[in-house]
Amino acid sequence: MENFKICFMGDQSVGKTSIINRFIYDDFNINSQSTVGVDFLSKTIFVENESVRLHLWDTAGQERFRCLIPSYVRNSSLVVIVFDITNKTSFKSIEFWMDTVQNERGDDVIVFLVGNKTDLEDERQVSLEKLEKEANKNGFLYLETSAKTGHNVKQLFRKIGISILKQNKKRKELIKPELDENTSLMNISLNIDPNKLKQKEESGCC
Amino acid sequence: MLDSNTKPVPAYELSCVHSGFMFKKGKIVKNWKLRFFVLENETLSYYLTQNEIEPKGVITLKEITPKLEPKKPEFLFLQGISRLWQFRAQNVEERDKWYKAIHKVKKFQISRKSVKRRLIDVKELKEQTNNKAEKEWLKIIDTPVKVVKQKLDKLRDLAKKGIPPTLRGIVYVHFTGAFLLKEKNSELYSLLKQWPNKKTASIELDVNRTFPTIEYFHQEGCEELRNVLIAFSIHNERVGYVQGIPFLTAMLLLHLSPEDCFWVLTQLMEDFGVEKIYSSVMSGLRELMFVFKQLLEKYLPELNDHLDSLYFNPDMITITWFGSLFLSSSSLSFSSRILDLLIIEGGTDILLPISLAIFERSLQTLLSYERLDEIMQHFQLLKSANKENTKNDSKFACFNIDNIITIAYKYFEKIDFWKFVESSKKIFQEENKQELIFENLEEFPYSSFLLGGIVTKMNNKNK
Repeated sequence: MENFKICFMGDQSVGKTSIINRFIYDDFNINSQSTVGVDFLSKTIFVENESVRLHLWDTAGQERFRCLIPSYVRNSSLVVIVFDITNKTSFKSIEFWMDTVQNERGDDVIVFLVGNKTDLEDERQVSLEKLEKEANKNGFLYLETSAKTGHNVKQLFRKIGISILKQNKKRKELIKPELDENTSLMNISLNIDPNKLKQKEESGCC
Repeated sequence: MLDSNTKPVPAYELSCVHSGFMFKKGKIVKNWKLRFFVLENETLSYYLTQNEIEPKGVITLKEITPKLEPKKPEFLFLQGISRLWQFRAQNVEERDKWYKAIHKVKKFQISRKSVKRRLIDVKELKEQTNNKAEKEWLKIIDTPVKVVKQKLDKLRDLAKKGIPPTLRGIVYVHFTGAFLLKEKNSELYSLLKQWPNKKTASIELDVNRTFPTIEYFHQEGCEELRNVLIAFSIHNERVGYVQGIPFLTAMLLLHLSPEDCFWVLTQLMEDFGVEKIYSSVMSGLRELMFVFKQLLEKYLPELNDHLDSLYFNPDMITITWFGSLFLSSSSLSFSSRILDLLIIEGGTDILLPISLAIFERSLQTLLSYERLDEIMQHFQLLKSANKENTKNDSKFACFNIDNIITIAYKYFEKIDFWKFVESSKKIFQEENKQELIFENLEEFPYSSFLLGGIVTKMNNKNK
């Protein structure tokens, strides 16, 4: 089974940990513990008849920690930038987080913009249109979720799974010609196990 | 032949901890549920089973009165401000054990109030206890600093076994020198906490998210935490507010009045080097992370190679270990012991041998893993390792804090170890010269990591 690194970023208290907890434990705590530094959880999901193991890296959102976060983005296949739809500032910060991602990974990474806390519709400060516009501008995927009610959380991870597999297949095709040699460097950033890759090629399945 | 190795005394024998099964009456659904209870650090936690990872709940005993009813011999009641908890033990004897244990914790909490008024009547406290460790700590507090200085080994040996939770507050106030500062600046805390035009948005987002399983922080503890954090962020603008600080503050609040907590926090930051961890570019945190990587490579090379081959980087876990002084990455019974040592040894460098010892204790387990997520999940167990499961559950055995401390001091006592740490620090500082200029390191007059740093400091202050 292949492993993929997913990195969650975004301002303080937008719900990064809560989205992950909803996905892994199907649970929600109104006061989940704040994340100092980084946290890690993993889960296997099944998409399109394939199982993939997601390594979820949850990062601290507060300003002071921002200087340390970039190194944790390294090698991630996909980055989820979360903001709080009831907090304009957290939406404005998307730009900062995008820069962080691009500095580390260039365009070689899938980015998901997630507006969380749709359960607080009355307090909404950022419209879905705005999110859509921001995402389209950069060619990012986007979705609105509520970790509290569970709204769209499963869909989010399904979509994450699908886009990762898609990208992975594309990459495999690209590197196929040089598969026998010098693939190790690519494999590190792609999280592909070369042995498994070879096996698959040999058996000719999937 | 006699075995020359003396076994370390487990911490639970030193504090008034009690554990076992009791029935607990539900708050909403009023049925009786069997739960496993652990009394520690002035809290009573309950778990679904003995080996459960997360507690179902934690009751802080700070504002609680234990009560009995003659007609209900197996029952125990805890009266809180807004709730009455009801418990049923297996028999009267068990119930009495619980009652006595909780009562004892309460008794020392009353004595904690006297710290607040700077009226530590050590003699009276000594009469209240038969516990050997408590007596010894009280004796040390009662001894002039000059004399303590001559018996540092004894102090260290006691600290390695853990400060009894009942006396933790008093000892912290004493050995950080917080009481001296408080005496000199008696009005400051109340002034700071009502400071106008304060920036509190970031604090506000975190006060409810610090130790959310501890009931105390749902009630007045939350307000106290907010006040101390605000006061500190104004008092020390270099640091201000950083995620991670609330955990330290909250842990101290479990043992101290808000004002004492403020002064101990200030002392830890400014005199014990904790400030460097949270400074503008977090140089202290990064330095510790950097040095630790070097230490792992030097002292546990086989493990380091194995972890490296799985793309594991120690930064992945040490950022949280050092960034929260273990408080958000391990149970309170574990992290409190580390903080005890940090205070008695006088600096954050103690985190290095402790962390190396955690890796060493997990050596075989880690070598058997073949995937990165297995490694990461292994360290996550630290969050739920407690006195019970590190004794009874092989999965948790490597996180036994007594064994970790024993191994940590094996490194601690090597001069080579500290020489290596110093040279690694120099490399770090050289590599990050440009950034560190902004930190103006000269402004940080930290005490040395070695035991006695703070004692010397107190001596000077006394003069």
